[in-house]
Amino acid sequence: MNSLTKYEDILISVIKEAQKHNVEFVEARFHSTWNLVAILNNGKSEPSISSETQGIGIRIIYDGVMIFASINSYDSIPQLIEKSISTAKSSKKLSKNPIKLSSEKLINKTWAAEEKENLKNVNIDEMISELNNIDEYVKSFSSDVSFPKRTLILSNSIEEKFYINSEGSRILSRVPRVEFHSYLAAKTNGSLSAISIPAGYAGLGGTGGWETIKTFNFDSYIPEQLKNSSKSITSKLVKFDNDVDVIVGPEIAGIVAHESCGHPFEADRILGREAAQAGESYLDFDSVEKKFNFGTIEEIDKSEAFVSDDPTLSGSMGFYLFDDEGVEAHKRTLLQGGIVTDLLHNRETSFQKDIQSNASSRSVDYDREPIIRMSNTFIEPGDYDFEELVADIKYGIYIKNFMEWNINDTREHQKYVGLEAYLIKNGIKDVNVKSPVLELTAKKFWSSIDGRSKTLKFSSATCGKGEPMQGAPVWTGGPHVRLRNLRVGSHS
Amino acid sequence: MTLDYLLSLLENKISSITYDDFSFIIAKDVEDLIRFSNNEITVFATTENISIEIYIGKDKKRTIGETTNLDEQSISNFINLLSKQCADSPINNDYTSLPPGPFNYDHKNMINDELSIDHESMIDHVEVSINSALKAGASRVSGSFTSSKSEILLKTSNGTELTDKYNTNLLNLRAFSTTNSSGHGLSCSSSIRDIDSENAGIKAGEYAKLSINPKNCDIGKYDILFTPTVAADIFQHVGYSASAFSVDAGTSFLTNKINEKISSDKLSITDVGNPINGIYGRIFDNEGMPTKSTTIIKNGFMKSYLHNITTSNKYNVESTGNAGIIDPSCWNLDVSSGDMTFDEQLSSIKNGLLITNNWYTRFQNQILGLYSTIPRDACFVIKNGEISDSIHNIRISDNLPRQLLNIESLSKQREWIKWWEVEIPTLSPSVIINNVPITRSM
Repeated sequence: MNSLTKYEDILISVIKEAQKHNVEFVEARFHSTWNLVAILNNGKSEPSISSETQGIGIRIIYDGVMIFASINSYDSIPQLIEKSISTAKSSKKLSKNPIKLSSEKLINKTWAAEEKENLKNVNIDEMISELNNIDEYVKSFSSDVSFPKRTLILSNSIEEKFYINSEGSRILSRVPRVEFHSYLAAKTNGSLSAISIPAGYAGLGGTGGWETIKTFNFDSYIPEQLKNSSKSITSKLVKFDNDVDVIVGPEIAGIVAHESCGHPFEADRILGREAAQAGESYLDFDSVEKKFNFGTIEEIDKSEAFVSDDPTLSGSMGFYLFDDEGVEAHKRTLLQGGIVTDLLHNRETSFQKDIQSNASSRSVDYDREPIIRMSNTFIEPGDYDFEELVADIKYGIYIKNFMEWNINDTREHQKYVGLEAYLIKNGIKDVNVKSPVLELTAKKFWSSIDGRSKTLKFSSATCGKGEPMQGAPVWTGGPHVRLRNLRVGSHS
Repeated sequence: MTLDYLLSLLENKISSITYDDFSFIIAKDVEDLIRFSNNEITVFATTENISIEIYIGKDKKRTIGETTNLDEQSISNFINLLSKQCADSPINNDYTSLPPGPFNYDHKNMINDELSIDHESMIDHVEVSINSALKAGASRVSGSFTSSKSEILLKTSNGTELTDKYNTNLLNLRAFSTTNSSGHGLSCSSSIRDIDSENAGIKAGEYAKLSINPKNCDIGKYDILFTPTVAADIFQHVGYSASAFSVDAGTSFLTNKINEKISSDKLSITDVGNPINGIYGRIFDNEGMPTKSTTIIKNGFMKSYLHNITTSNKYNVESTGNAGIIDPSCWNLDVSSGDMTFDEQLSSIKNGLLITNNWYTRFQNQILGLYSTIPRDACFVIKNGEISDSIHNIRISDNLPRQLLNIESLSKQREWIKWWEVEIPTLSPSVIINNVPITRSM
């Protein structure tokens, strides 16, 4: 049951109020987010954090100028629209190319993510109890490594939206989410290291009710992560004099898919709309159905690179069935064996391409404009077992996960520093390796893949973009991916 | 809807529950934003938001809530919900009562004389910045101009009732040459009259023009001159790590460093709640304590973490007036100036680099300060004190403790920096750091 139906009259009044000004297009989105967060810091409970944000986000196109307005005090809506349109008139001198939207099918739907146990029925003490169980295990973990500092965070949220536009679409949605993060300081031989579980400042997360927490499998996941992280922390740096074969785990495959394929495939970045914020792209706007090229860099002839973005994955953090422009979502194949098959579009960029939108427009709150975002971006699985990928490496490295990463603003030059990693010798996984560094170009990564495992795994992450900043829930994912002849460095 | 009206509703509803401590923060924020790219406005965005933050403490249990659902019944329900959540929470023996006061609060040092956001002036600034960048040699310009006005009202169970107002104006732009070399410019002020859109545009345009035909740079260690924009990013991570919550959480490289030598003697960093001519300022924190100036680093020595009343109690020190009820955090960072001009700093480097902007700072190990960040926009080789080749595609792969100890010089002139990458408003000089490792993709 969506709790926002009672706001329909306000939304209709927004549309009517804007239409008094002869606008070309108007949409109104009542957007509500309920959130309850439990934090355990070194075994002690920090104050629980509850939030109930709700308000209306409005987009108007007036004389080709795009306006976004938001408000949570609804008696001032007419004045807000009046002010917005007045500013749009003044802005016209710097808006020479009128903004238009692609024509899309009218939608009248109510949809929701599957939810068995309503998150609003979960008490804070139940959430803290889950964290206490984890904390007790971490605190008593017995090895050369201890964890004297521990911050554990569990977040339950429900996002509801009610969208209508001047073309007649009307969509109600409800997405509950559960997410876990942890940050630990590990101590060994008197020295401290900071890590996160999951690694890479990522989370365990999914859409659904309280039943979702069972999918995190804390009882097996936490002990395994502690054991493996401890070995990594006490391992030694290895210097690789020559290029070696590398297997990256699903967490690295996922972050590469997100950063080095998903982001540069966002059509608004390619057109320069994010240039002063999240940056631009190595692709150009005419890249689709062409071989994957990198601006001035030569094309890849053959590639095992297959990347998709799929908002319809059940249980995923980036789950949605209709985007925030009212367009029906479906899986987007971005990269197919070296061919760019699609970009991520909203209605504005689709109009410029004379195509239909592929429903990539998302807003994280009522006071944020909808912009092009990823949902769940991943390297597609292949045909190998993990053991088969390892068996065909004489001397190389398996980098399972990472902590530090970054990428330049055109998304070509990137770096991933491993947390859990192993030497591979004669087809067998060997000793742990400390902090191996992959610092490579997008072309090098995507053209060096020669094998992908069958199993696909996802991590929960928050994707940053836009101004004001919008942190969007996403999954990043992939299989184990084998890459040939890469330069592997070590952290100084 | 006025803040006083909401306060009267809250006072009425809070009387129906039991508490040891409570506080309300009612905030009204009006923010207008113009985003532009390819020399054109892409969106005009306006936000009018009123929010209520409520803290309740009872029997050593605590809870915090925020709502933007402002009707009377919803507020009543929310307070009842928080009261139940507080009761359901575990006891925390670090519980500290809100400060009783009364306290003396500073007079506001910022310019708050602009009653409403001046849209015509915003559009003019955008136009001037674009045209200045184009005239200086750019072919396309992107950026944003944000102008916001905020009012805040704090009421605590100890009878403290305070109000504050602040304005911020932030212009940020990036200019590109025909060959996609780029330069960055910004201007920040509490008053829109002090926004220097022309100079921000000229700087971005000139850097874009000067950085055409970039070359690859050999990896290795370099003495690097960082502009205030880059230096502010480095120093804001000192600010994050100075939070006592970060220290407790194991995410701070400043853990166990009080009174230790952690940087060059030349460096002092102070958190300032109410800066003179700053771009963000508050006279009280979220617990009702007066904000003040807190010296984090003094002439190279670590002097203080930033505290709220809970962390100050644990550390047996006074609160520094930096609440956040959970996480004490910086208001504004004031980094010490030096005795050289930017040109003198440039002239002092025989073989080094000039880096004008950066982004995507990420840590491998926060407690050791191991990190990397990516220079973006114009970067240059410095040879014999002069700008030489333009370079690109490099990365700084270093650690913060080493960098702080290897600061060679700070400039006389300082700039207020706040933009997409630098969240904490920082008054920063340009800085030379010696022997910075540079890496790049293979």
